[in-house]
Amino acid sequence: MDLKLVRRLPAALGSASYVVLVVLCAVVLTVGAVFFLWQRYQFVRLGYQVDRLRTEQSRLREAIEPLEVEVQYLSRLKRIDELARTQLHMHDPDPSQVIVLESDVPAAQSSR
Amino acid sequence: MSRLLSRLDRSVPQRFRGFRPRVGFVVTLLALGGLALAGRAVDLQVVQHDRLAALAQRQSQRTIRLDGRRGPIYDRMGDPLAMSVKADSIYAHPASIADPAVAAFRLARLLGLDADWVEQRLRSNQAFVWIKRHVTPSESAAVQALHLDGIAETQEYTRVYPERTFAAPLLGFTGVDTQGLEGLEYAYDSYLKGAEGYKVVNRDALGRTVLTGNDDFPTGGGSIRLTIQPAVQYIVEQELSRAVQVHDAAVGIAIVMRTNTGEILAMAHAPDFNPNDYLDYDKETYFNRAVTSGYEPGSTFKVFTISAALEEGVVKPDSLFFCENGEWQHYDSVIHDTEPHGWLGLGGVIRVSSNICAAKIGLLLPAAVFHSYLQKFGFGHRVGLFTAADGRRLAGEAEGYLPPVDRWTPVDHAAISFGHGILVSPLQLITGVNAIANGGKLVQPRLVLEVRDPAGHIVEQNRYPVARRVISARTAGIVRDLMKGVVSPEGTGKRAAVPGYVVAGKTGTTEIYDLKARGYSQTKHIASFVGFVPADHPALTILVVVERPKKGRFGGVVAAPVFSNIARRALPLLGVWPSEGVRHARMDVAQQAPDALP
Repeated sequence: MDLKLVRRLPAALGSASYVVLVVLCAVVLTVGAVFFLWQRYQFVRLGYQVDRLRTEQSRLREAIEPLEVEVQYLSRLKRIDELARTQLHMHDPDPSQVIVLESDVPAAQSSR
Repeated sequence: MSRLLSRLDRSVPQRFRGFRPRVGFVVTLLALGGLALAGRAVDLQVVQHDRLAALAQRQSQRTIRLDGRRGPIYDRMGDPLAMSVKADSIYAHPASIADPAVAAFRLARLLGLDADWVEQRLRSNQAFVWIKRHVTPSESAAVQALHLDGIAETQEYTRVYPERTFAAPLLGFTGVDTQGLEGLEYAYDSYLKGAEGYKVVNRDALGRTVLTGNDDFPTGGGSIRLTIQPAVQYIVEQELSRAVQVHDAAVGIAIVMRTNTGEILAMAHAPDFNPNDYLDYDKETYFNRAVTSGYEPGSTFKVFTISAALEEGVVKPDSLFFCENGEWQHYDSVIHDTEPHGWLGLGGVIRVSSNICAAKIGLLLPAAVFHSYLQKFGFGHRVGLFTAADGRRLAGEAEGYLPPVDRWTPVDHAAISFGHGILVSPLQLITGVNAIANGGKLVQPRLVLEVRDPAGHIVEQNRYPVARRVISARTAGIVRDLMKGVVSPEGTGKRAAVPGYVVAGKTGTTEIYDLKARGYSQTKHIASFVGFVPADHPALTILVVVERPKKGRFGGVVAAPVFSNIARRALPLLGVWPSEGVRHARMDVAQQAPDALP
């Protein structure tokens, strides 16, 4: 603080600026403290939220597992073969009915 | 400082003057308070740090037990063949149960258990007893609805095989604690099993968990991906099962191997079992006989005798042999052929499968030389199907039995020449024949494409197979041509022919040695066929073994048709089309439309 400047100012103006300065400092400190607490609160709140979501994720993963088993069970080749033959009346083609399509695409890209 | 204070004092309005002593007093008090706080902070943060930190940790942290999930087994396409899912298990605290008889009756009725057995457990002196583990969701819900004191549920991992009997003897199964008991589950148990782990989480005053660090604690087991091609496996299982039914046989085994890489695309057994309910099946169905069992290969073995003899130059492709018209006295034993034959060339010997001439060819080789060829073809020791990347041999593979050469009698020497007096596993046999198909190079068979750790990193990968030369390409070519004759209209394996493809193969019919009768059974046989297709540029090597067929007995009748059906259906799946019958059209990739369709 420039003391020479303060001394040159009228007394009333000097006391007012002193109060303003103190208030300003208090406001800055308060805002800083509030920001810190807000940040801390957000951290904890998000922590609870993340934990809740992780629990939900875990629950959903467990719910998916039986569905994956079911998908695998329902898509097994034996079942598809039986459905194709009995319900869709499909049958193996005669070799004369087969047309092999050849392209320049490497086999490794088109099938595993 | 005093100048500063006097200046400040002068700048303070008149009405506030005289406060200085009091301000000084307050400042002093605040300074003392600050010092006290700082001292207390040092006491808490430094002096009592360890004790308080431990106390805080106990109050704010919680240890969670993480079950070790067993890793999955995938097929070649990445679909799970075995996986672990959570299931409820019912347990009891016997001391908390007011009326064990009533509780036992109600639980037994819901869970399909014996009421006396349940009551016995509920009257136990133990603090904790299992009632039923890995129950279905509906069973668990029904038990919860009973609201019985002292009965509770917990969740455990259980092993599930979603495709049921598919590749079951190959996969094996796990016990109630998901430990590997049979098959790949047993052989690769050290890779698949998960470890029980613990995770520490922070909690607040209400006991709620707050943000923790790493959530992916690696307690699960690794995973393995097999070389098994599901469509080929399905075809093989279907054809094999059909043959076992048609011929009323006891057991069927089939292996399909990719000729140039040694990758096993299918390994099937009939009858099979459902590993989800393995206790409901005969234990004989559990075993992966293709790898773990040994049998006398019979006539399929003649291709190795002839290969060794050709390679050593003791016979030539145009050599002739007298087959003694079906019966030959050799020392104290008599060797028979199925049908009498006179003079035959090498092609004739293998085409009609003469035991007598095969024995004569084998006897032209010194025993030690013949023995070393058989070893080079992979007999008498494990071929290394279950070998870890670090060279460790995993459990489950049979060595077979090749008698030490110093114990060979002339009769043994002759018998081994046509596949008797030794034991080979189906895997060893197909590996040896695959060497002939590969132009004389033996490729180590592979069943596992890759092994990954719990984090998904590859720890072991199916490297390109190391091949070692057993016989020259010229000799392999001659034997291949001889084997083509077996599938000709005059050959014993004519039913293995596949329309549109040239097949090379060999039939085998072996009488099973009866330990009680101390002799070969006249009624129990093993019928087999092993071959490769297309003969000149082999894509697949296939072995079919049918044990104890009641309808039909010869390999050419029982096993050869299975080979034919498997090859006919599997080859197009691999992009190997028949040379005739199928039309080819060029597809313009840019337009995504064929340009030569009719």
